[in-house]
Amino acid sequence: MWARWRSQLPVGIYLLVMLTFIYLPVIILVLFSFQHGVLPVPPFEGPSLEWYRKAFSNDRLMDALLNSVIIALSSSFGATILGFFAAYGMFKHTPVGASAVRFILMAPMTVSYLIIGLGLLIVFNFAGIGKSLLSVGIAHCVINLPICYAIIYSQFGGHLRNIDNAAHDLGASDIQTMIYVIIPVMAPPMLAAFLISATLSWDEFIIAFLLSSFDVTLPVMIFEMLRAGLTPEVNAAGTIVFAISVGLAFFAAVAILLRPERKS
Amino acid sequence: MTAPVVELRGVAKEYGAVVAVDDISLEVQKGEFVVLLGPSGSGKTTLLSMLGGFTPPTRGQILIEGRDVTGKAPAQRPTVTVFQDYALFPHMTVRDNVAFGLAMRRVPKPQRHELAYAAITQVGLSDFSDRRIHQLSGGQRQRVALARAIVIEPAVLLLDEPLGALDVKIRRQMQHELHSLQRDLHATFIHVTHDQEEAMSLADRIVLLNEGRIEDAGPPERIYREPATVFAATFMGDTNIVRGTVSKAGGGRVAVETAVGTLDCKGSGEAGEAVCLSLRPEAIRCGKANGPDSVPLGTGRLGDFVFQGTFRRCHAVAGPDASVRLQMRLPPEIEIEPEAQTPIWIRSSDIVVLKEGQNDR
Amino acid sequence: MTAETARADDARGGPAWAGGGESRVHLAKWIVWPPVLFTVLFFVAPLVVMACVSFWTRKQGVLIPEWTLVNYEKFFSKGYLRAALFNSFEVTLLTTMVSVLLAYPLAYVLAFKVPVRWQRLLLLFAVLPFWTSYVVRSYSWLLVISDHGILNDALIGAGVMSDPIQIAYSRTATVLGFVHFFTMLLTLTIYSNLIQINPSHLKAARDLGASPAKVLWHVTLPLSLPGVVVGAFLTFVITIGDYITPQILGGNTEVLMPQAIILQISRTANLPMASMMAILLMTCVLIVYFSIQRYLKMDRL
Repeated sequence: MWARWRSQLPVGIYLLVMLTFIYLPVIILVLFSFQHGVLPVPPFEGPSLEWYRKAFSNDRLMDALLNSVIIALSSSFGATILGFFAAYGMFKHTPVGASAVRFILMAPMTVSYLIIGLGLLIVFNFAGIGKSLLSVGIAHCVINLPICYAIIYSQFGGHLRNIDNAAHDLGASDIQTMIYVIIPVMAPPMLAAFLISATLSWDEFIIAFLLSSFDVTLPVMIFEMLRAGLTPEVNAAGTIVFAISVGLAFFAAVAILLRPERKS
Repeated sequence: MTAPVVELRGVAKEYGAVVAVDDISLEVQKGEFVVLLGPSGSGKTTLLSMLGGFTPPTRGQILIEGRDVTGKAPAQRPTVTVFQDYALFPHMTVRDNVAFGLAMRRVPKPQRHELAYAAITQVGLSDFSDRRIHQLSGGQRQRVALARAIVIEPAVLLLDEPLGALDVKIRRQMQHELHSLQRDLHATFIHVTHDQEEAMSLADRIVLLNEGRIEDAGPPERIYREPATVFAATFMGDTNIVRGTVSKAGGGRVAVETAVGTLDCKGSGEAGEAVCLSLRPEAIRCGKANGPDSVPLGTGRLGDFVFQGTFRRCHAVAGPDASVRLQMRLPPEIEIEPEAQTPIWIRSSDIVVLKEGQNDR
Repeated sequence: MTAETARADDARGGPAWAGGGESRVHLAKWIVWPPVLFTVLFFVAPLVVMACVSFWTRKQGVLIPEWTLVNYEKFFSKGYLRAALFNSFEVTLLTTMVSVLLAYPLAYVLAFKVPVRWQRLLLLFAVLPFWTSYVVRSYSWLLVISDHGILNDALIGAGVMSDPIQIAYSRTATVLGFVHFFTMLLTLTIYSNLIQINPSHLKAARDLGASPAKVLWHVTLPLSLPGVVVGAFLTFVITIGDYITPQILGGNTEVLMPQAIILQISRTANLPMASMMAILLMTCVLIVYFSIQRYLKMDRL
């Protein structure tokens, strides 16, 4: 027993060191959001909620939070619907130039957000749309569409082909088949795609930075607050962002585990 | 004779250079249970898929109830397919699955539930109508698929290897139920399988397919007893194929020179023609030949005994230089020394003359 | 009947499937096009426009749509712009290498030294902070490494030194922030590759007399290379295009490509120059992508 324990010890110590490295900044962030002082650096002067109170009464910050929520939900909804359309279309029927279609759908994943944002900034300027939350939402839809498509398409298994055929055979139209059969069966991967998109949109900075003007998202707001230096209020805002990200990611993981049944 | 419910006219399906179904014409009568039988790649599933409207034929016409449905979508045909994997809707209960076709036909809800319940009862699942699909066994899923299909009263029910995924015991039971269901409904069933025993126990008529063409079609007993081709003879159970040359022909009988002697049997042909004879293992007997009908096959050395319950399988090596090896099925009670030399014989009426060259290699 | 179906019918040489007289709308045939159209409109078109703009110039805040290579010439003649590209490459390569070196042992330990029932939970736990905004993650590191931060505080408290060391606002800080993030990403890709290795390969190697070190070098490492390459490529692509980590942690000591691009926009609103630099950055990534792709193909043969 002791020998086994001793052989496990180096592994345990190693894991502890690595986890400390990974969690150190998060722990510091959260810990000093409860700082009872003006600076988020040691010494820790005891738990206090004053900075959360300050953050929640900061109108600009709360507006940014609301903007972030709206953009995350609406752009993810759009990306999930479009991703489902693409996946269902590619599953049902191989269009002319299927590999080109697949390439175009997946291409945004290989280009930096900065470049996507810059391209849209130029085009929106030309089109007179300019910077707005709508522009940010469209851009987030662009970056999340390939992810939604890939997640949903990967779950379109062969078993769905006959289910689709059966629905048609029993008299359902294309639309009825999609609404009454395919979408309910594909709901778990669609939910997973939605949640992952929402997480990525919620966390995204550079596109929101380039494409928003006065109304900003939460990451952009935090970046602006940093110019005033380190304060526990930023810690509080960062902790809120982190908690919501982790919550979304957790539910996405649960949704992925709820895969559609393989056998009918 | 009434008009056929299904009529195929020169239907063919090609995938590029590959011919899946080659110029098939077939008529199915109302109330008939037709089994499309064949090995994998014989085109039976493609043919069923063309009947159901899932695969467009390359050539030919498909008529159902006298209407040309060649270009029609599955929903616009009076057919329903029961898929091999059942294709039940996993997010619905048994009742909702069965009622789906009725809902799509805008049948009012109370009536829909009543009809669905009747169909569920008919397949023996009345206690399961609120269950979800994943709570059911394979055999129960099979019944739900059947109920979902019969509830909309299709003119033709298409079954694509519906029993393929079930284990042997349940498969036997389902064969029986399928048969009585078809009788009760007076419906037309077209059933695809590669299992010749299943085909024989279900079919009014077997359509035997090979390489996209109809090899033989007829009642199971006729196909088994008098197969039209070498393929039909070998696919429908075990048989011994003995090659020979017609030496004498006339009066509906032929004499065929083979390695096991001159065999006289019913058939037609010309002197000098090469033919194949099918000798079923259970028709070959050993011991002293008796009866005027008997045809001696010379002396055989018996070996390779395997007890199989209802019969004892063995081989007889016969002919000059022991060149012919015949499979036999002896009654289990017969005790024979291995390697024993014994006369073997067959009844003339059990010999079937097959022409060479129809799809045989 | 469309030209397309007519052609298909000719090929079949017989009565048409689609020509049955029913004017059924084939959802399956058009449903794929809205998302494709969306991507073309809001992704492909902007990139094409940006590529065009990179050949334009700007005077007094107005774009002059005349084709010229002046931006490209300017980029390569100005030392501080070239330096941004080189700095970006150095930081990216350093990040990728350090991240692989940190992530591989972690993934290896998780895959082979941790009991199977704890693996997934521990992995999920180890990559949880992955789901943090770049801004928040970079800011958190700033808290750790600033002059009065926890790290200096601890080191001084332990008596290792008397004055705080300056880590924040340097290349070290930028790389640290990147490495933290990509260690998690690479652990994921390498772990998922390692657990796919057939254990009987490893047993066979041990049976044939290979020492554990030799098994690692000759069997495990080559078999897990695809996971390393995929993770390293992702690291490369994301690092070279990231603005926020060097902006928050790196300070003003040096400028990387994304910062240089943003400077062109925010200081002088020089969209043609920014476009040119973005196109250049994209080209670099594409070159790396195609060389990796070739490598992966060779690996499969």
